[in-house]
Amino acid sequence: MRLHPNVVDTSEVRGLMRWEAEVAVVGSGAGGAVSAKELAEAGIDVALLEEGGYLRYSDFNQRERDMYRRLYRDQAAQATRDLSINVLQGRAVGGSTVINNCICFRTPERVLTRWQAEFGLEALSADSLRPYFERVEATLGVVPIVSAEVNENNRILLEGCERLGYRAGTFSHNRKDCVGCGYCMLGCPYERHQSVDMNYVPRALDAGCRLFTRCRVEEILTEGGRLAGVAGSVLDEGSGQPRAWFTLRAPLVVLAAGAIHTPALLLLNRLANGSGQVGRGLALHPLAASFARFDRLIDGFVGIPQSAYCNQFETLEDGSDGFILEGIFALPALFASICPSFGEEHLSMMRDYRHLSGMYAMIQDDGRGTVSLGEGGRPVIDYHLGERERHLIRRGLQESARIFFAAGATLVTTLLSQPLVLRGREEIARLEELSLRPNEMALFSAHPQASCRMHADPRQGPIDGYGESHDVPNLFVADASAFPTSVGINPQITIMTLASRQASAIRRRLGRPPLL
Amino acid sequence: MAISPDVVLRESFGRREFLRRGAGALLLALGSVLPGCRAGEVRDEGGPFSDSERQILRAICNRLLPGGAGAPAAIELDVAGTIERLLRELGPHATSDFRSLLAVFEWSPLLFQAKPRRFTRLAPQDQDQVIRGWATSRIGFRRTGFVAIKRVAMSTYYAQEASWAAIGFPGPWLLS
Repeated sequence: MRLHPNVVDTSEVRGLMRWEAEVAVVGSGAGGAVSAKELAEAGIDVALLEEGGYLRYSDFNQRERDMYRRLYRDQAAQATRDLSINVLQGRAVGGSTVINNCICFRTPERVLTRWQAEFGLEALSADSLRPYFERVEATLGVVPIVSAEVNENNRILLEGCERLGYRAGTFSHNRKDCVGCGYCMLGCPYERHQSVDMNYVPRALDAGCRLFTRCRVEEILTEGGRLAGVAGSVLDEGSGQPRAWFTLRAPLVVLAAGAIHTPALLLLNRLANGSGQVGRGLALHPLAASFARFDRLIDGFVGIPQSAYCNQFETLEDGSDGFILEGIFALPALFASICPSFGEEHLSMMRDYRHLSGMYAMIQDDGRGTVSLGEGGRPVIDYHLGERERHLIRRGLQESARIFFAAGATLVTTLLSQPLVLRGREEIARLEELSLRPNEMALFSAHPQASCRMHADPRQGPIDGYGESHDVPNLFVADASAFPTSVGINPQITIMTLASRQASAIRRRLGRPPLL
Repeated sequence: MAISPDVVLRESFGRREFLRRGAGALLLALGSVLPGCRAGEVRDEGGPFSDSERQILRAICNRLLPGGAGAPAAIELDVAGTIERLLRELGPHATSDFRSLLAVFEWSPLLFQAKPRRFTRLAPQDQDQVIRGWATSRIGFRRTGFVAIKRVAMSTYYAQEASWAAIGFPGPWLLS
């Protein structure tokens, strides 16, 4: 497929390349793509750097064996140091928006209120962000999922909630004329998934932004204490190993490499860490899934994978942060790797594949994780569940089971290595006994965040309310690492909204008209 | 929950971090001198495994994925061979922990149950008991080791189309 002329072909690059731009944007996911487009459309010379490749719809073949490799960070095996939580992130032009399930939530007002009150970010009110939310949603084409688009798996969640009187609903999403193949997490071969590579990136390119793929930024350049650009390796497509090197001179840099790699890059360069908070405060939104068996066929792998949620427990009875329940399903290789047990027992559950319904509890966690540097400067994620998170996981699994049984499930199973099968609602209390030691239960995360947090006080956070470093002028952060705390909802709209607001401020600084 | 088998191996055994903490370091050190994983033991065709290590991995995979009633067994889809080929690509640095883990697995009846037996010489139901002991152990190293081997074996097996009929999965919409 012919690529846009502003996509720089790095496949033949050798030696040291020298490039220049007015702004360097590192990472082309939800944050970076927005920055690139909003700055380029103001006439700013933007270079957008992406470590992964630029895959188009014809590259997406719906095969797990191929697509996890090509689209995911560490080929979908990124995990906490002890392997207890698998941390999924995209690594391709478009970042995680290419492989997410298109869920669009605005940042909850209770979260914004906390950011204002506890982090000195008074300007981040729902009212002030509204025009940015609207701009992002219009660009993505966000629309509500209609009833006819809800598959059987997600309908079970809605039915169970209705019978229990739990608050529930269907998401808004950024798909257009979805065909319902169910392979969203492997990239959309039908061009219906409106990820940022379908809108923001092409518009950035049309406005003159240059896109450099397979370029891994390793160094943030400074000269005389002033920001001077970035440098790194050009990666070979086949081996993933460095094949050439580059320097990109730019007086303003936007880091949008995600909540694991943005802090790692700052730590590696010993930059912007006067607060000592870079890499600290990492939240993961741990996802604790359970599956239920129904006598009828569910075929959860067909249709929109996630269309329904229950937010009854978004905040708990005492007003503290809780969890959201969302419908989910997994393709065979992924499901088999988390399905409980082994041998004949495992095969027996796999044989029920078409009869299963899935749901997870997404925990709004405290920022107790860290990103640090390991061997070769590689990011290392340390994260251990606290008692509050363990309590929320137990409660989330219990509420999931209640919903499943209310919808007619014959049994419910969690993802413990040693299966815990519930055969009726009277057994739900057994989940209270879960110890949740590392690697007893399969847990995963798709939303690392808050590892380089905004804070008005330079002693308590590395970046200010516009995502600019307190220590290094013109160095910005535009991804989920900038969140002061976890947001408790799927974060792509929050990332993009904050990036839009930041881009507007950068435009003003560079003498261009603001966005709004 | 990691998926790409080669990366599961690299992440699990290439970094040499998670298994080397606490009891893991001790057990791996022990594994490196136990029969079945001696440094000097003959390995053929430049592969990462000796014959005895290969037998241990096959035995584990065969119990993880025994097949039956229309489902192919691990050996029919060459799950152990695929894992070995992936490890070969990663090189000796990444494979030494995996080899030590196999040795600890082989001798785990002795190490953890005080039974002077080797895993590969146990009856299938006794092998299952040993594996279950790893999955539910109070020792984090053993739970993590089980998860790592299980993930790579299951994802290798179920990424293959030959495994899908038994679970009723019709396969992707797009033809390969």
